Amino acid sequence: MAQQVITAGSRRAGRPAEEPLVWLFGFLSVASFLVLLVSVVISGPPVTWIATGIYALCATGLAVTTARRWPFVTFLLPGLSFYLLFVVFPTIEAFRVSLYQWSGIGEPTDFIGLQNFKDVLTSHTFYNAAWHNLVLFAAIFILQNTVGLALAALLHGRPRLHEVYRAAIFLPGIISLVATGLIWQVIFGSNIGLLTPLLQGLHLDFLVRDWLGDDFLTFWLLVLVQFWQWMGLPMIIYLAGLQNVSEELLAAARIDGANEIQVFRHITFPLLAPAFTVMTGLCFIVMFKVFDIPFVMAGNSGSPDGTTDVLSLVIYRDAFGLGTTVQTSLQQGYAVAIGVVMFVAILAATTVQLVFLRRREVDL
Amino acid sequence: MNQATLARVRPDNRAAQRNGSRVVFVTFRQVVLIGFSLFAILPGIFTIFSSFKSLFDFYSNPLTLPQVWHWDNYVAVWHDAGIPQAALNSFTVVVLSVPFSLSFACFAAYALARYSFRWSNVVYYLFLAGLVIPAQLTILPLVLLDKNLGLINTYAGLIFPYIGAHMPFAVFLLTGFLRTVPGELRDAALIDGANEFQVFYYVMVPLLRPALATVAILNAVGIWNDFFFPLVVSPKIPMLQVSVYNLLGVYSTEWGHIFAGVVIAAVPLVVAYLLLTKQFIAGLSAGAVKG
Repeated sequence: MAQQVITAGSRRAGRPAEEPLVWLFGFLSVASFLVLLVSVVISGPPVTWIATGIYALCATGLAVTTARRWPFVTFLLPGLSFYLLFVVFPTIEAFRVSLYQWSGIGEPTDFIGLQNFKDVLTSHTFYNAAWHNLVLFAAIFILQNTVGLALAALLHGRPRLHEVYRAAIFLPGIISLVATGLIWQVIFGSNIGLLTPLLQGLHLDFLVRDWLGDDFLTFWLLVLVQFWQWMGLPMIIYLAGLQNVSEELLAAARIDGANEIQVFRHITFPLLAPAFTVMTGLCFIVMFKVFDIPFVMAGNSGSPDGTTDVLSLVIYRDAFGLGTTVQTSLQQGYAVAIGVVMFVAILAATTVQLVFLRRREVDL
Repeated sequence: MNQATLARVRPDNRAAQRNGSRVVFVTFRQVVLIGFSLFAILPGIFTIFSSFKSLFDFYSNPLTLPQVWHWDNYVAVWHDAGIPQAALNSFTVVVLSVPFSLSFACFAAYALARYSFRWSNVVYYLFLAGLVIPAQLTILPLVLLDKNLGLINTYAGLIFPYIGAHMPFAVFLLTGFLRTVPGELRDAALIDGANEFQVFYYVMVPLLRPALATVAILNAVGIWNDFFFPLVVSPKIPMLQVSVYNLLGVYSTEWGHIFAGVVIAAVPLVVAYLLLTKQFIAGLSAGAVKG
């Protein structure tokens, strides 16, 4: 691609007079940010507000003084500040909390080192839930690369009404967790419901099951609903990938005598590699973080009998209790430790995937 | 258009046969696409029909149109469960969060896509790592953070974390999009005497419009639909999804009323999505594939 990255400041002569100010404000910003972090851990409103105000002043000073020489600092500061304070900092806090036995009230004081991690990695519940995440990922991965890709290929031919189909198929992706949950619970409900009367109406009574109470079936219905919500994304991403494949290349291959299967195998498919990389990464991340659909379809205990349990439900139970009963011994430290294990595992797996898949792209 | 050109390039002796199979293929294609579109929207249609039904109608004729259209379901829900106030709360939070998260992400993406500095890759991957963080991992520390900043039960207690939380995907998408913009455009503007911020505002932002629409919609959808975070952080300022969920407590099994609430909560989003769908899809595809 025609792309030119210019090292900042190389184009015009710097203004040395600004430099000491930049260093001063840079130092002050970092220092006041650290003070702010400490204050939100150990203190309450008036102190934290003052700390926030001081940081805001220092950061503004930094943004103004760097604007000429290093504009990227000015561009990065606002977003990075919010991101560091409201995403990165809580994540680091979570790592810290995972080393404590903590019921969630007050400051954690009972330091137990890696005991929580030892408990996590020896618990059956953890592996059971992780296994379901893995199966869910595998199932959705297969579906998105067959059904999703096929939908994209069909839309790529620009059939009549293709924009309507595209909009409709993506629509479930914007429906809220609450709505999705209520709708599918009612559809699969045993005494009310849509599916049961539908099958009865078609005289297929023998197919009627206890949809949300079946050891085997419930999990696969969950996969179905997850795919219902997910399918628009691979369709759109693959469609974009297909539109990047130049017609000239395909025509050249056909003239050289390649059949349609060979054209797909040797030209279209390799050129879809960037879309494939993105979709594989996103699918992996989303399916391991999945919470909404298992929660609304099967409740927070992964009913029936933990056959629909996933990792984030385990965290939710240990952190907030079962919801129906008041839990006296919540294990926040333990819950957070599961989250940490999840985070590290997803990050590692995604990095490996990306490196591996990106290399495949470069080779082509 | 391209298909037609190609058909002319191919040898002609099998053209007739191809025409026949072409009709079969076109029909097949329509059937499959209609099938999947129905799969996607039928649960929604079912919800809309159900929201107009009386309780008896809902149980005895789950599959049909309502026997009598009960508009009063909507009237009742609108008045009973604090829905207008909750909708206003959600709307306020969306309107105050999205412009900030959008512009901050846009600035950051521009810095990462256009400048190479010593830490640029580190910062880029720091943002991307945010995609991987499970919400359940950070929710407890985040609640404590809000509490110590005195932001529980305030709009700010939702807005600030949303701005942070929506950075990763927005930065990923916008950086990907910006990397496709030729660097010469920036050079030309700089030579013409624009400064870095004028380049950004007058050259880059107009080019970014489809990607910005995508990010704005995704953020608005994410915030409008969020349930757990407002449930924990702002119990006294109920957001829309929380209020809709609470309808379960108000009406227990009066599904007509509950679904009326679901429809009210979904309509603004669906309308916005349908109006902006073209830009939304264009931005999503461009940013994600080229990133």
